[in-house]
Amino acid sequence: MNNAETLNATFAALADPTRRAILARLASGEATVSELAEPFDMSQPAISKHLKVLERAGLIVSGQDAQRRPRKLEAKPLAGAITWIENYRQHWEAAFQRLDGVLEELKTENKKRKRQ
Amino acid sequence: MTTTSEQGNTVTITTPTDREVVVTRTFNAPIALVFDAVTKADLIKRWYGTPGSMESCESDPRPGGALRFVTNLGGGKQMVLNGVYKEVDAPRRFLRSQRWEGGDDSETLMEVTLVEDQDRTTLTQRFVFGSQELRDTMLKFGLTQSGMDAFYARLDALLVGL
Repeated sequence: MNNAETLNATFAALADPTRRAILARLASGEATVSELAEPFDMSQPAISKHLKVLERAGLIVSGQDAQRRPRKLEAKPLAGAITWIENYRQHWEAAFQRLDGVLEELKTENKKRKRQ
Repeated sequence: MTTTSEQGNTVTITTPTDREVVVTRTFNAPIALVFDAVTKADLIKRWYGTPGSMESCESDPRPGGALRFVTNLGGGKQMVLNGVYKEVDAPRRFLRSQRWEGGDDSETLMEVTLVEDQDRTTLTQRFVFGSQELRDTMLKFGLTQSGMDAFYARLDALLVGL
C-alpha cells in the first residue's frame, strides 16, 4: 500500500468503536483473541473479524508464539493518522483563534452602537 | 484530540468514518454573531486566512447562493474554493457543497451547526469528502518526517483517549 492507501485503511479501521477499544487494550500490552474478546459482549469469531480489519490496515501484528498468537499494536500507521489529524487541528486552531479576535471586535462594536 | 486556546476553548477533531471529519469548537459569543462571522464575506475575510492572505471573498448565504474564496499562498500561487449554499437556517445551521479549483472533480459537503448556551456558542463543522483522493491530498501535507517523529512519542496518550 502507498501512503494514501495506508491512511485510508487506518481511518476505516479507526471508524469502529470496538476496534478503537481493541487498540486501546493493546496499547497496554499484547493479548490473545480470547483475552481481547473478554470485555466485549461478542463471540470470538466476531472479534476475529475486527482483528482481521486491524491486521489488514497494518495496525496490529501477530506475535511469535504459534499457539497463543498474541496480537500486538503496530504504531507506525497510527502515527500517520495522528499526524494528519494534528495538522488539520492546527489549521483550524489558528483560524478559530483569529475568529475569536473578530468576535471580540464585533461584541465591542455592538456595545458602542447600543450606547449611541 | 484537543487543544486549549487562550480563552480556554478547545478544538476537537473526530473522524467518524473514513470520508468524514468533524471539527468542533466553542466561542465566547452569542449565536447570531458567530453565524455572521462564518457566513458574511467581509467578516470571513478577517479570520479565514492568515492576515492579509485572502485576496477576495464572496459569500451569499441563501439556498442556491454562491461562495468563492481566493487565498494567496505566496510566490504567485493561489488557492480558490468555490461552493454553493444548499440549505440555510440562520443562525442555527447551513449546508454547502464546495470544491478546490484545479483539484479533482469531487465535491466536499460542509455542514455547520451552531448551538448557543449562556452567551457561548458551539460550532460543529462536518466535512463529508466526495472522494478519498481529496482527503489523501490533504493527508500528504501532514506527512512530514518531523511531524511523524513528534507523534510517535504521543501514541500512548492518543490511545488512552480513544
